[in-house]
Amino acid sequence: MNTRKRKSPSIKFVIKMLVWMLIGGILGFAMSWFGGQADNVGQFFAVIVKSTQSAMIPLVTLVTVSGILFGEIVLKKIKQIEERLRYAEDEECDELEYQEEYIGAWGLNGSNFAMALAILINSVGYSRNYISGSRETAFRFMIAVVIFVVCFFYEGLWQMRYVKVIQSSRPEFSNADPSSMKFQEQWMKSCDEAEKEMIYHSSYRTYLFLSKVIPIFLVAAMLSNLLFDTGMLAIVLLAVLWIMTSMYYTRSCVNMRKKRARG
Amino acid sequence: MPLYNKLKEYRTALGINQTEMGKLAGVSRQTISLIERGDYSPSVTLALKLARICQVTVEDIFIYEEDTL
Repeated sequence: MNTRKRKSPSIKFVIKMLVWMLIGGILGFAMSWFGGQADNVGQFFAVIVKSTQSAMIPLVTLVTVSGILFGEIVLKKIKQIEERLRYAEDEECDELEYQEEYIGAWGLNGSNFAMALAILINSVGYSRNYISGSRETAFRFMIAVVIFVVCFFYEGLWQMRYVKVIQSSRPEFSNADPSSMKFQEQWMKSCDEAEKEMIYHSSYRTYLFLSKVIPIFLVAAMLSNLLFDTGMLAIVLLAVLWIMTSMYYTRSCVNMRKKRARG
Repeated sequence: MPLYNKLKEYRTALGINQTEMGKLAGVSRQTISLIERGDYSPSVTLALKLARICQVTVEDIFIYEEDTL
């Protein structure tokens, strides 16, 4: 039997608030020191931007080529697993399908990572100052954009090819068109109850994750504006994203409740 | 949840594999596997479908055992 006295929720809340205040104090102290180094930090980032601008073409090429190689390896492995799945016994199927899910998740994350990285690299050159600096910088930027477009096309096509491979072994998903804007909804319709439950669980965990991460990023954006004058845009965008995420979730809950109340 | 099942036994008695069972019940092979391993509790509709395929009652396949205090 548990003899320990349980703390009331309000005491727990006060303790938590005190701990957060202490953390806030430590962080504030660290930030004030960091603020004193603002010039050095600003210079450090300026050097990073400058060197990324001058190496934009090789960097975007590297990301594109790595993305292509990674994508092809992943797709080849998935095709091999699909081939083995055709003749596998029930117990072996469980293991193979887990491997397929695991490798596919790496592939999808790799594909999205390559696109995000390509955007990030190109965005350092996406400034009027850089483009109008000289004909050479404008030309360099144009070449980087062309490679970036190739990267985007490939990754987009890769995701479609991945879906097609899955559809070849799971014909019940063949109604989902990967080129359609409603692909996710079409895919969901083809899922059975256990698969839907898995998607709902993952979506809810993603929502919980985002509702923790967005406020942290918002504070980081506010601090960076305070110390380095990075501008209000990031703060506004994150605040809007935070409100929208919460509103969309609650709206969905209310709509479902309404449907059930009406019967 | 203390829910056990004998789906694998009944499926084996029918001489079909998980894929075939899934096709008959209108779900994926993975779902049949999850149910057999006790990692997923099916909906009432699916439980009834499975019982009908096995030609037994739902209670024959699914056993709910409450914790003894």
